[in-house]
Amino acid sequence: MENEEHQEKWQIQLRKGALELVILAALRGRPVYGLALLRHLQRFPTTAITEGTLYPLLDRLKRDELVSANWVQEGESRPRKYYQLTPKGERKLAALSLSWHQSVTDINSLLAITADTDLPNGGS
Amino acid sequence: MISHQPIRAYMHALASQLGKLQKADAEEVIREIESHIHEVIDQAEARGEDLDVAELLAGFGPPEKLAAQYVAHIQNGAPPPAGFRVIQSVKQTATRGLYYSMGAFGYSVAIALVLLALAKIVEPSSVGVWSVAGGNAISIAWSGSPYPEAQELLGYALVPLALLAAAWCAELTRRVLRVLRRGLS
Repeated sequence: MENEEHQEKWQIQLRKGALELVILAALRGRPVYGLALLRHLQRFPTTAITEGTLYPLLDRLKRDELVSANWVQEGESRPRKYYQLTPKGERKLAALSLSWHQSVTDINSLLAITADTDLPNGGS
Repeated sequence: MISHQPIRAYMHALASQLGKLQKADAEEVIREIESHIHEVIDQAEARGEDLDVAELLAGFGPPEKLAAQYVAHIQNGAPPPAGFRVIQSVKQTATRGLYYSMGAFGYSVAIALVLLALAKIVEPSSVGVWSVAGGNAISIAWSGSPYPEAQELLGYALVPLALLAAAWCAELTRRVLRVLRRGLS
């Protein structure tokens, strides 16, 4: 029980740190409106966030000029606010992706180390 | 049939919590969230499904908590745009100037009050609080020629009162400086 709680907390921390990367990645290549973005993220167990997390984060990304937004009305449907990456957002996505892949590679390497693997000598 | 009353109540509460934002920004937040809610309702109605409005609103969290996330950057202070380091420098200079002026003023007043209390002990007849101008004014003075015709009001009670006022003034100054110091870091 305690283990499950701890794992859940760890999962929340991990998601919190990766959320900006997740949103930028989800917006790559095409404009997406809030509800579609939310449902897209909710398809994956580790990126399933709530409305109350998504919209303030989009607002911050917009203020940081990583995304731009504009209202679009298609036919008879309600107007929707579409978000898309700005050039600055694309550069940020590339930098965060690189950092993420590096972290995953490093952690995978650490996980693959077995007890009989020689560690580097701390002295010289 | 979906009840719109909880939605109206939620949006009303949210709007009232977004007061710190500029009007246009607050309206934009409201418009986007309303758009999301109504689209979810439209989709549920088109599928002939019952929608749990309370559950939908719960996804946004309490209105005050949601609003707090939108206004946090105002309270924390948004970073200056790139290329505006000069403005930041001027802002910091103003804060530093205010910090030292406030410190000098507040502690000077506190020291003056302590001196007043000590002077009352050393020269009780020259220091005091007098009612002058026919009772229309109060004079706190340390003078070689006080107001002989006027009545001194406090007597030795001036000593503890002046010391209390000095302590209060020093504490107030310390607290103000602590707040201003955050602006300097």
